[in-house]
Amino acid sequence: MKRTIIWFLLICLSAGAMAVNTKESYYMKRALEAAQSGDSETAIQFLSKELDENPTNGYAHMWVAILCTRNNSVGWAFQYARSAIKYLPKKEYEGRSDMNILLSEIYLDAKDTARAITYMEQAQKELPKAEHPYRVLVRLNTQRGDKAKALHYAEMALKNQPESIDAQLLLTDALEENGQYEEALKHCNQALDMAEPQSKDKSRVYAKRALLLIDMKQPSEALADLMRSTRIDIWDVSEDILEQLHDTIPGEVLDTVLAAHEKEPEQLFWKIYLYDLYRYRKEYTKAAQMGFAILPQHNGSHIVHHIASLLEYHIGDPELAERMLLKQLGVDSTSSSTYIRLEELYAETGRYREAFDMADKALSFNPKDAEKATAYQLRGRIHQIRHDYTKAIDDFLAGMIADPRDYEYWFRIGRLYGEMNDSVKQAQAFDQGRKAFAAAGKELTPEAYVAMGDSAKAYEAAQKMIEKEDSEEQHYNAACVYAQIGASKEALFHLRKAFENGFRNFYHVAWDMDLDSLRDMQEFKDMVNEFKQLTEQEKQALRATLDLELNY
Amino acid sequence: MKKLFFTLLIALCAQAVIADSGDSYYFQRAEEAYSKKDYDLCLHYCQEGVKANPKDGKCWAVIAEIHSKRQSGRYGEALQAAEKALEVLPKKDLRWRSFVHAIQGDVFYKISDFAASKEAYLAALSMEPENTTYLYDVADVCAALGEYDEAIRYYNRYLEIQPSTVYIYGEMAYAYYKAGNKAEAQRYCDLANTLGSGENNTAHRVLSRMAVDKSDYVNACREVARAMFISKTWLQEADTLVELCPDLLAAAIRTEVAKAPTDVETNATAAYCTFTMHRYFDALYYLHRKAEQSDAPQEVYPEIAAVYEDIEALDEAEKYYTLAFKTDSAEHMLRGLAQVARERGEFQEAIKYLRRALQETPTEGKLYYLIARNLYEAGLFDETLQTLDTARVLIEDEEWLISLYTIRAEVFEARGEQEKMQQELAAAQKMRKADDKRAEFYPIDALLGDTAALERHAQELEQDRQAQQEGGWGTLAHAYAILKDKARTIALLRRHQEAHNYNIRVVQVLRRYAFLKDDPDFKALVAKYENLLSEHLAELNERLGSRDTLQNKIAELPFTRQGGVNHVKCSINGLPLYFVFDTGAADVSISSVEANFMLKNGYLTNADFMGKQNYVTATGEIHEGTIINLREVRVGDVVLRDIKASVIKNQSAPLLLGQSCFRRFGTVEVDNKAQIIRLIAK
Repeated sequence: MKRTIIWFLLICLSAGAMAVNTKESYYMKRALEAAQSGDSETAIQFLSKELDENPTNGYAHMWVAILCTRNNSVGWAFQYARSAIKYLPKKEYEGRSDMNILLSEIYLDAKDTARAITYMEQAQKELPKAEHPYRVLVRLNTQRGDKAKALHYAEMALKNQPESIDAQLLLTDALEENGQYEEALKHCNQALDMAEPQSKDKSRVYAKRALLLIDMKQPSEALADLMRSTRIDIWDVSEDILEQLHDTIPGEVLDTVLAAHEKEPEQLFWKIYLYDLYRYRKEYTKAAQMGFAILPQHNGSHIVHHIASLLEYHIGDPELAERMLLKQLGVDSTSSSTYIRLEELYAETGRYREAFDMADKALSFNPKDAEKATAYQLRGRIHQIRHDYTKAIDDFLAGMIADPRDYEYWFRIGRLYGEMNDSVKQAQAFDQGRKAFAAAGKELTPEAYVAMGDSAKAYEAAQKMIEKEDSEEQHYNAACVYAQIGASKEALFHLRKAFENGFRNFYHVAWDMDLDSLRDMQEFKDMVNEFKQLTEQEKQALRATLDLELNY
Repeated sequence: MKKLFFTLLIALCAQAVIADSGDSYYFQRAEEAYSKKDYDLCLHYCQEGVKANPKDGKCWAVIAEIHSKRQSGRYGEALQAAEKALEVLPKKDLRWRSFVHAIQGDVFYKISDFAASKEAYLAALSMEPENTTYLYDVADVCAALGEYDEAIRYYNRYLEIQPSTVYIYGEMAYAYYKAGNKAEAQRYCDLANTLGSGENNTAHRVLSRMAVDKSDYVNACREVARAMFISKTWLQEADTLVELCPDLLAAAIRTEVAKAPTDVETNATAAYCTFTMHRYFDALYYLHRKAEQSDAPQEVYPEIAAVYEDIEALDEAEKYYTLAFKTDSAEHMLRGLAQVARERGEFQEAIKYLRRALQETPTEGKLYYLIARNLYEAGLFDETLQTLDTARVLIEDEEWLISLYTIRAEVFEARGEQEKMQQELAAAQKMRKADDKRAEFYPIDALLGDTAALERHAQELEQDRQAQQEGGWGTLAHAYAILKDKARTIALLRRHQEAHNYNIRVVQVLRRYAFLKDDPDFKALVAKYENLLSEHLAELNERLGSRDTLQNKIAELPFTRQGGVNHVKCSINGLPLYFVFDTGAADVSISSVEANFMLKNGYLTNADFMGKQNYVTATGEIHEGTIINLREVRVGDVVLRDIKASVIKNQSAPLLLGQSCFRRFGTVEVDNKAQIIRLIAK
C-alpha cells in the first residue's frame, strides 16, 4: 500500500513536471496519453520508440521507470530510475527527486536501510521543500535509533515549510521520541492553531495530541482530545487511544462516550467505541448488542468477523455466528478470511466435510501466508481427530511452510509421529521445534513440553504463562496443559477461571482433544452445564433483542 | 545464461562485421549460415575461408567458436583455431581479439582448467574493460576457483555498469555466502528478490543453504521449492533436504503448486520433483493435473504410464500406454506394454510387443536382451541363448552386458552345464573394476557362490541411501534368490519395499523366485504390498476424483434449438448461464459483458485471470481473448473444476461451450429426438 501511494504521487508529480518542462515529441505525447489512460503497455512501446530516437531523453527514462513500477517490474524500474537521474536536466529537481525516492523505496523493500537513506537524502537535496523525504528520513533514522538525526531532519522540514501542519507534526513525533514532551506539545499546539476548524487536519492533530497527553500522564485531557477528534473524523489510532484510556480511567471513558452516544445516537463512531469499551469490560452481551447496532451502518468483513467471533467465543452462539459469516459471503464471496472463519466454526462443531470445503475455498483465493497456515492447520486438526495422522502431518507441515513462525507445530507433528510409532521422525520433529524456539530467542511453551512428555516442565511453564498474562485465553490454555499431564485439579481450576473471565465457546471445549481426560469427571460436566445455563439466559436475552433476519 | 550472452556477443560481432566491407566472401556466407543456426555450413564456409586466406582471423575465430560450442566438445580444435586467430588478427582489433580470448576462456572452463580460463577471460576483459559479459565470466571463474572476494569485486564492477541485472545480485549473494559473509549474502538475496523475485533462483538457493546451516528446515524447504519452481527442475540443494526432511519438502512443493494449481508447467515441475523424491503417488497426482490442463493430454500419458508401471499398478499402466500408443507408436510405448505383460507373467505377450518394437528399431540391441529375458522366463532356453548372441553383438553398454552374461549363466546353470556357466561368469568378471560397487555384479557373485562378497554388498548398501532408493536391496534379494536363501531373500525384499520401491508383484512370476511361492512369509509380504498399493491407489483416485465429479458419469443436458444452434444451461462458479454448444470451439468462451458482471458480483476474482491468447473465429478473423480459469463448471449434475476459458473482447459475442470442457469427457452424443446432449465420462 505504501508503495502504491508513492507511485501514485510520483505519477501525478511527474505528469505535472513533464507538462510544464518538456518540449514533447510525438512519441512522448502518445506515451503520456496512453499512461494517463492507464495503458502502460502502449505507453512503454511509445517510450521505447522515443528512446530509440533520443536515448538521452531523461523524461522518457523517468516515465519508463514509473510505468515499470506500476507494472511491478522493479528491476527495470531500478535501471531506468538510475538512467533518468543521469539524463534529466539538472534543473529538473522534481523529477530527479522522484527518481531518488523511487530508488530509496526499492532499497527499503530490500531492507537495505543505509542505501534507502542515501537516496532519500539525495531526493531531499534535490527538492528541499518537498515533505515526503523528510518524513521518510525521520522514520528511518528513528528506526535505526539515530534520534538526533531524526530530530535534525524534522527541524529541517519545519524550517523549509514553517506553515505546514505535517512538518509541525513530524517535529512533534521526533521530539516525543526524544522524550522532549513539553516541546512536542508546543509544536502540536501550533499545528492545532494552523488547522482549519472542523477539518480532517484538526481531527488528526487532536488525535496526535491525545496520544502525547497519554504519554504525559494527562488522561482526562487526552480523552477530551479524543472526543474532539472523533467528532470530526475517526482514525486508525483512535481505538488504540481508547484502549489506553480505558486502562487508566475506565469509568470516565465509558461515561463520556455514553453521554456522547445519548446525545448523538445515530453517530457510528460512538457505537464503535461503545462496542470496544463493553468488550474491554467483558460485558459481552452489551457489546454484541452494540455490534448489531453497528452492522446496518457498517458491514465490512473486519467488523462482521469480529462480532461473529464474539458471538462464538463469549456468547456461545455459533449458529448466529455462522449465519453472519454466510451472509457476509453474499457481500464478498472471495474473502478467504471469511472462509477460514467458517472452516474453524465447522471444525469445532464437528461438520468436517463443510470445514474441508471451506478450507479448499479459502486456499483457492490466495490468502495471506498467516491465513493460509490457519486453513492448513485447522484441516490438520480435523485429520488428527479422525486419526488420519499422515494427512494431519501433511497439513501441519504445509501450514508451517506457509508461515514458518508457527514452529510450535513441530511438537504437534512430533506427537503424531509418536502415535504412528515412528520414534526417529518424532525425535527429529522435536529437535526442529527446540531449535526453532532457540533461534527465535523464545522459551518452549507448556504445550511443547506436554508433547515431549515432560510433565514437570509443562506444569512449571503453564504456571509461568498464567503469571505473565492473566487472561481467559491463557487460563483456557493452562487448563488444556494441566488436563493433558493429568493435573485435573489444576485443569478444572483454570477452566473455571476461563469461564469466569468470559470464555463461552462450549463447542470448542467439546471438540478440543486436549481436555479429553476431564470429560468423564462429574465436576467438569457440572461446570460446563453451569456456565451453559448461565449463557443460555444471556443468549436468549441477546437473541430477543436482535433482528434474527440479520437485516443489515 | 553464459551461453545466451555468448550467442548475443557473436550476433553483435557478426553484425558489426557485415557492415565492414573488408570481410571475405566466405566469412559473409558463414555469417548468413550462422544466423540461420546452420552451424555445419557456417563451419564449412569458415574452413573454406581459411583455405583461401590463412590470415582470415575472423574465420579462424568463428571456427574456434563453433568447435567450442559443439556438444561433443572438439576443444582441441577450438583452441588451435583460437591460437591461429590470435596470430593473424590485427593487434588493434580489440573487439575480435577479446572475443577469441573469451572463447579460450570458455573452452578452458568446460574442461575445468579454471586457472587458464581465468587468464583468458582476463585477457578479453583487459581489451574491453566495460564488457559486462567478460566481467561476469571473470567473476564466475573466480568463484569456481574459490576466489570469492575477487569474484565479488568483478560482480560489483558489473553492477556499476548494469545495476538492474537481477541474477548478478543472486550471484553476489552466493559469492558472499561462500566467502562466509552471511550478512551481505542475506542483503544481496533481499535485493535480488526485491528487484525481480521469480526471475532468478540463485537468491532462493542461497537463502535455502543459509537456512540449512541454521537447521531451519522450514525456510530451507520454502526457499528451495521456490527456486525449483522458478528453474522448473530439481536442484542440488534439495538433495540434502530430501534426506533430512522429505515430508516438509513435499509440503513446500504442495504450497508452491497451490499458487498456480491450473498451470501446466507448475504441475509438471511438481511431478518431476516428487518423482525424484520417490513419492510416486504425488507425482501421479501432479501428472494427472498436468494432463487435465494440457492442450495435448496424450503427450502426458506415457509419463503417467511409466510411473504406474514403476509402482506395478499394471492395469493403469496398460491403460495409459494404450492411450498413448493410439497417438504415438513409439518404441518405448511398446517396451512399456511389454514390461506390463512381463510383470503379469505373460511372457509370450511381452515378447510380441518387443518384437513389434524391433520392427521399428531393428538394430536396437537392448530389445534383443529384453526379448531374451522373457524367453528365459518362458523356459525357451535355446531361443534365449540365440537372441542373447545377437544382443551381445549390438549392445555397447557395460551394465547391460553384465546382465546379459548373468542370464546366459543362469540358463547354463538351469541346464546343469557348469563349465559353460563359469565361462559366462568369467566374461562378466572381465568387466569388473577394482572396488566395483555396481549392483549388476550381485547376481554374478551369487552364481559364483561368493557369499562373503554378498555380505560386503549388504554392508555397503546400508550406508548408501541413494543406492537403496535405486533398488539396491531388490537386486541383492535377487542374488540371494539364486542361492535359494529364503530368509535372506524375504528380508531383503522387505527392505526393498521399505525403501519406497514397488517391484514386489513381479517376483511372484519370475523363475528365480519360484522356490518362495508357498512360503507364508513371502505370501504375507506380497499381501502387505498389495494392500499398500491398493490403499495408495484408492487415495490417489479419491484425490483425483475430488477434482471433478465425472467418474463413470453421464451428464445429460437438455438443449433448445434457436437460430440453428443448440443452447444449453450450465452454471459457472454458481452463476447459471445459457451457452451455445459448440464442438468446434477450443475453449469455453464468454463475452466481456458476462465477465464484467461475474467480476463485479464476485463470481470471478482477479486471481482467476490467467493471460491472453489469440483466437481464430469461423470466419478466419483473429481475436485476442483474455484467458480465465473457471473454478467450477456445473454441467447437469457433473461438476468440473478449473476449466480454461476465454473472454472475448466483444460485447455481443455468444457464450460458447467448447473443447476445454468436453475434453474431460470421453464421448459426446447429441440426441436430437429427445433434445438432449449426453456427455459420457472417459
